[in-house]
Amino acid sequence: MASAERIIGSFQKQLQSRRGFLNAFGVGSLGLTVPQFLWQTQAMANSGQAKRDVNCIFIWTQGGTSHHDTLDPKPRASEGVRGPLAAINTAVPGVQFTEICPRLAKELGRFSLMRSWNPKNAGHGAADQWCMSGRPHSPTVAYPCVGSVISHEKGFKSPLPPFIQLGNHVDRTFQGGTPGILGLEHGPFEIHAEANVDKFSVRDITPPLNIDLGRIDRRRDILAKLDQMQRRADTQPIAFDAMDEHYKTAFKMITAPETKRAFDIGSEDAALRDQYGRTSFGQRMLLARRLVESGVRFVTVSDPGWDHHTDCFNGIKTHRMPQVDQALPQLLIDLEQRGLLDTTLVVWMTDFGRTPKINPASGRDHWATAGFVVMAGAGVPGGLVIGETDADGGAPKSQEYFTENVVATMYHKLGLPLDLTVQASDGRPVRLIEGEPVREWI
Amino acid sequence: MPSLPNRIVSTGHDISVVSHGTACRLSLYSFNSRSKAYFASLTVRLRLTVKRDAFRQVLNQQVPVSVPQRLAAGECTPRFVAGVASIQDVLTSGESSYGSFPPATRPTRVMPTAVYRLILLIATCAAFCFNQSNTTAADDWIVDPPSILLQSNFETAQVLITRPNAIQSSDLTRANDLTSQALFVSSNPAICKVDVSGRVTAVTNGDAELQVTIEGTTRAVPIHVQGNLPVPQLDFVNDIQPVLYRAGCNSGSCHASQYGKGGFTLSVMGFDPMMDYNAMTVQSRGRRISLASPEDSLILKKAAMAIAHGGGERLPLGSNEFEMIKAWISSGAVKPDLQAPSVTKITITPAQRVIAVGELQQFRVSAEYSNGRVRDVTSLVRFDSMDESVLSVNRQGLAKATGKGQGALMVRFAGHAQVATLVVPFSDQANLANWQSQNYVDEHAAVKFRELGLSPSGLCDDATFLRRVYLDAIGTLPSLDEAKVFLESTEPDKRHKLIDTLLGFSSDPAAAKHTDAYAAFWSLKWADLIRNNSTVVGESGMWAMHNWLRDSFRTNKPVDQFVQELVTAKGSIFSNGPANYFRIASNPPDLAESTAQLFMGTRLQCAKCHHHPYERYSQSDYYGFAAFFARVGNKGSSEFGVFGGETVVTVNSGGEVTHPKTGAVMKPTPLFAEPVDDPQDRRVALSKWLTSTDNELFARNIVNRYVGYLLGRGLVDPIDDLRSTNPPSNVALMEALVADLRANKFDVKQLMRSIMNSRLYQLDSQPTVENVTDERFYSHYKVKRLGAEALLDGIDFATGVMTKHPSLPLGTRAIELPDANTANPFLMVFGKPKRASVCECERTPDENLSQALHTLNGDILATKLADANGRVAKLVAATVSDDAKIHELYMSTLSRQALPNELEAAKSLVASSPSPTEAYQDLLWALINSKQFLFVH
Repeated sequence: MASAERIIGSFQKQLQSRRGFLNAFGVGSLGLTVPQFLWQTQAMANSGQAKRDVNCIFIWTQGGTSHHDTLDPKPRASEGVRGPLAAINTAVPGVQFTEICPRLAKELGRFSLMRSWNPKNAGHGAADQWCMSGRPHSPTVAYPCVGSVISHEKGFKSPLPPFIQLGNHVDRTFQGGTPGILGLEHGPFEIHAEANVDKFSVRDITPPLNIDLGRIDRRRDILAKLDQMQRRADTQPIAFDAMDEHYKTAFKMITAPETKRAFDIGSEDAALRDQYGRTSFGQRMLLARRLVESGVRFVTVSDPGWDHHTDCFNGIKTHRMPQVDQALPQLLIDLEQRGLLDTTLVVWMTDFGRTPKINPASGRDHWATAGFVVMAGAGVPGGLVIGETDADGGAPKSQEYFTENVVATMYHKLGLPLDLTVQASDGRPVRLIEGEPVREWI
Repeated sequence: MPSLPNRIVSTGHDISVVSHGTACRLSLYSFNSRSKAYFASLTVRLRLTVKRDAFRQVLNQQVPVSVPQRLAAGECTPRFVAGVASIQDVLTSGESSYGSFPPATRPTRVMPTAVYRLILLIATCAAFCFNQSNTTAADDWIVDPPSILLQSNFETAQVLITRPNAIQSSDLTRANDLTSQALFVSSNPAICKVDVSGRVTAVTNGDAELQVTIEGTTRAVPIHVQGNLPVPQLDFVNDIQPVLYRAGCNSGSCHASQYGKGGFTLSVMGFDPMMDYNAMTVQSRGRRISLASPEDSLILKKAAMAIAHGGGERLPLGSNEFEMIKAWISSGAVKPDLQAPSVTKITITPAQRVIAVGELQQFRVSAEYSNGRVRDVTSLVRFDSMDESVLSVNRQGLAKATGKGQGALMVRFAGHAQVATLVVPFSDQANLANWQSQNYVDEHAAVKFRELGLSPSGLCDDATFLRRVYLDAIGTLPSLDEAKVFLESTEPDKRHKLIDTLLGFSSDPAAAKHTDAYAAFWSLKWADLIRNNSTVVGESGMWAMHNWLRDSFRTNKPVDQFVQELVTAKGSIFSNGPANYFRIASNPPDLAESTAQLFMGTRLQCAKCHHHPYERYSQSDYYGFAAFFARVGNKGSSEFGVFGGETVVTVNSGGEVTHPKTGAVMKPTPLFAEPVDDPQDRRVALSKWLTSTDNELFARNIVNRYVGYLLGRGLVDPIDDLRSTNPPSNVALMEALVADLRANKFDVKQLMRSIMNSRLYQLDSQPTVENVTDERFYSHYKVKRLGAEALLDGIDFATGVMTKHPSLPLGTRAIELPDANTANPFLMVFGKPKRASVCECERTPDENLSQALHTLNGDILATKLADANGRVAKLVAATVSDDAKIHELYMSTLSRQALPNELEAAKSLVASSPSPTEAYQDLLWALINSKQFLFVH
């Protein structure tokens, strides 16, 4: 207690100096009291996770990727369940995927597949919230997604924001993929622009129109002078300091060479770009790797159009799956070649599974009790297939896991304490995640 | 049991006394020469820490003790030895206690041998010293209570020692608390024990005395212990659950979390005694308690950390709490008696105190039961500081002022919560020499400034006032002409007149009714709160609600009528705007929660599942309130086609809300009141009660919100969280504003007028060195960022290029947007609320990085600056002087002319830039990115 008092004392002293306020603000704005913060820092140090800095690429195929037609085929089920896609062998004996996943089948040794995920949910929106935060939607507490927790706990590593979302294919009806109680500041920096182009520009980061870096510098000087003249004394309202800090970071982000380099996807070897696939998804995956290399801690890659209520097989076979089948194994290969796989967790999740029974519109509808999750990197054993579904792919038969287990695994891998607790704006302590990590993955 | 110390170590200022089994540390805390005047001696504050968690909390408090200077030479006086005697108590009995020790008058090394020798003197001197009385001491303190009655096993009583203020002795709020400086000794530890904090604990029946010694004066307080039974009979609800609650066992992060911990699940804050009882005694084959050998019960071994426990040590071995649980198990682990007397009220003493930074204050809490019994429950309650920057409090209820301002301390027990207020003045005296009260707001503010010794900043200048009052009242920047007229006017009451113009209190009654910007701005505010949103109610419903809102603010509908129309609305959601309220939230619990939060500032949500942690709301209150909405129905209508989406809100003849636990049908019941009903529509009864004088919270909520909107922070903060445990920062001002609102028949424009005309509202936003740390008492105007919509409108105005909003005519301003859905990236980045929550917190006031990037480098601003028909293009083409051009840019952004040095700097920028276009673009860019523009000052 004595030391806590001393720390609070010095904290207050810090608050009195303006620069110190900002340093302290980093803590205060988290809704943590100082002792809590210290305690957590200590807890993290104890857990031995603090030193290893693991980043994450989170792939979200929005709409609900059919597990029957991709990674969990049921070739022996009736035709109304099996569907028209044939099963093929994978690199792991006894494990089959459908014919539209040839590359994933070949590279199964690089990732682990969970077939016993029970999403306990069949609604869009609710799925985005649940899968990205590990908590079902609550009308009273907006639970933050993992990327926001990372931003909140670990902050900036480079001039680039710690949490970036590529594409806007995250359903936010139930605040999925948002910072929730952690505050807007920790939301994803969103890049919606198409990455499958030669000249890639990012809104608000790439300078607009004919503004070059020289003019940005000039403007920064004018602004500094202007603010200086408007300042009447040394005592300023504290709100100004937070803004100063954001402007400083923003200028740094705009002008830093790292930023320009990270987004300069055109400088990537053309052959490698081909290997990722010249598709929106493929180039986003490549961009995700570039961002992780440049100091982004968490990248969400979102992909639309997986809600196959009608014409499922055609849609998944010709439009959606080839992009993923091309790019996901390529990302794992690329990360490994660059020595980044050990420090990059790759997760592929989707809303839920789809109905075993094919509907009259040749589609599959939402299914709440089965689906799949793919995880790789950061020590996740490749080639491991966890659990299985029953004969019709309707429910896990063994080793059943839930969304909270998957997200708890992410917490664990990313060095976040599993008992992380933050304070909501109404003063209520909120434990962010409940549930144990998937033991096969840790 | 620890024996006498066998080794004494001294390092610098610290003296460590290490004994068998228990280590003590005495450290020199600080000197306080205040009592020098009385005794010609120094008061030394000592700190004693025993290195076991069990004791640390009790002992880790500073104790000022008088030590005559001559002691430095090693001489011994009775008072000093008395202090040392209590150290021995600690070491030999295991009880926590304080002791004083004689350091050198300068904090240098203390000779270990001398210390050791002094301790050995204790045994012989102890009896002698207690009988000594020092006649030189000022005998002016009060012991409260004057006598102590303990009526059951384990019962405790907290003693408070108070010295009235020498100057204002009648004003006990300014008294000094001496409790933590006093030495307490029980005349008969077999009858009752006493610890260093002045807490007496019953041991066996009989009479004893509590001897209180301060600065050499000793007084005796009679103690009578009765009702102590050989086999203690403890009540699960009244005795055991408070122990679990206080130790944190049933908190949301421990055993009351979703899945409990280690398979052991308790109800949140003990709201379900039967569930907790079963979890403790029946579940897991009853392995958690052992009736045969109570102290071996798993529950106790875990809590005492005798075996590994993820939650750490919660109930130290031998502590009163430990003994209570043990006794309850020994007596057969009796079931909860749901008929047992319940707590009706808790009282905290003192309720208010003025103290200085660093000073201590002990609190006492007593509870009244339904059978009339009054019991000291200080040792069973939970204390929390509501404002860590002002005060901290330990488990024993000893608070310390840690910073300046006003802070509340909350105490919780058996579903009740109360607060005490500590005022820590900023300085001895406030400088109010220039303070001229404009109205009652200022009078109440001045009282507070005096009480807090807080000196407000000066009055803001005209230009600042102009921009502030425009943005606060109508969310709009003044036009160039409006600004010019006001700034050049020399009328003494021009501020007053401007407020009236903006609010529509014009002499022309027609103008008073039609102030479009006002109606637009406040419709936006309330549409956010009511959550008008086309995704939920469809385009037509959204427009109907919007039009009703606009009409309400255009005609300045009294806010009670506004709420009545909303809460009792029925009919088509396409033709009757307020009916959408029952589509936006459509079931009784949601409607109860939003109605309570919006119009009473009450957050009922917690009580849906468990007793409210900071309030007396229970689940019964929640579902009783929800019952008002049990009969609201809706049916589809095909008036606009099968897919037209029209819904008609109806009132059904039946429908009830039941209590989820008891299954009882709930009568419609307002909060803190008797059930009310209406034969046709329960909501009519609700709306009458809601807006009546019976409901204090309605007017307070409106007042608090408007104070918050205008002054940057509500008297109660958060703005929509009114509760008894979150008192207003200025109670008298709150009451006066409420009276004003009522007297003006809920006319919010009159309320705004009172606030805006006050000097308090018109203070400078520039803090002074004295008041810079104040964030609660309005000593300087709190700058706030412009909201997303007002900011976009401001940029449109400054650049001269309007934003086109989808499916609305060009020229529609952002503050006029009816819907939450917008594709406008600017508004999204700047946090236009999604209208998903009734919480004011949805519009976050914090600025963030994306926003900075967006105005610094975004294409929206860049396009507007470069627009061929924009302000810059027109200015460049105009045949006026550079000075005039620069002034216009300043007027269109900051509503004032450039100052001479600003003008010079701008001119040199124009001269050095590649082109005038680029120069003026860059200047306007910089002005828009400056804090003067982005904030209301």
